[in-house]
Amino acid sequence: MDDSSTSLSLLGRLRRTPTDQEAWGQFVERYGRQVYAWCRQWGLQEADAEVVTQNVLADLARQMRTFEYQPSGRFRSWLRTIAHRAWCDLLAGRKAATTGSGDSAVQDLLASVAAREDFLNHLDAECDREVLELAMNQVRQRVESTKWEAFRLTAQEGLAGAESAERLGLQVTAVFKAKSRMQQMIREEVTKLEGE
Amino acid sequence: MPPCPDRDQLERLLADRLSGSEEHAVSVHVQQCGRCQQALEELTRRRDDKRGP
Repeated sequence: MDDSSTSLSLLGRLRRTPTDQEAWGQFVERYGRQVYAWCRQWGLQEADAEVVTQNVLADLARQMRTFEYQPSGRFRSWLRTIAHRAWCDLLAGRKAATTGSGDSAVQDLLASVAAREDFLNHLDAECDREVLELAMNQVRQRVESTKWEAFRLTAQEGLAGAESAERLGLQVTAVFKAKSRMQQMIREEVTKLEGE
Repeated sequence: MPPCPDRDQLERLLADRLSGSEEHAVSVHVQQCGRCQQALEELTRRRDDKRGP
């Protein structure tokens, strides 16, 4: 497998090269905005939400570098573990910061099962995207570029098979066969990555 | 134009399980048949919008 940086998912790039600023920008964009939005939904003030977001991102980043990720599978449980650890650290941090201050409402909110589940569920959605991205990257490395392009135009850009065929100089059936094959390969890759 | 291939033939086309001559005939037909192209669009539509490509 080609394991150059372009073949890796966002998290894979960050693990391999923690100083990759572009990847960090994408990481903050992808996860930070989401975490901030949940915090606001849970009733945190802007300043609190920003602090919590920074803490979660920092925890995710730190644990991503140290956690042993096995590419053969269990990607989801890996990311979920990171998220759970970040959450626990966040709670511990809030508890220390609010002891004696009477800020129990925020503490209760953060500690609630519902909030934790919401956090993990949203992380799961991001994980789905991450797994899919990783699977697609890996499949793309293995197939002819024309076949991948047929898949990209039809499945991702939403072009009709006939129009894609015309653009690529292929028969219409060749486009649909390529699309179907790529879909199958990606599904298989996702299953492998999830280790289920 | 010859009659449209049935769904089973289209599925076997996608799975690369048609004989050479059969695939040729289906390909020539589909090239000019909007209805068969639409059928292939549906067969290759996302099975699971949440997860699958």
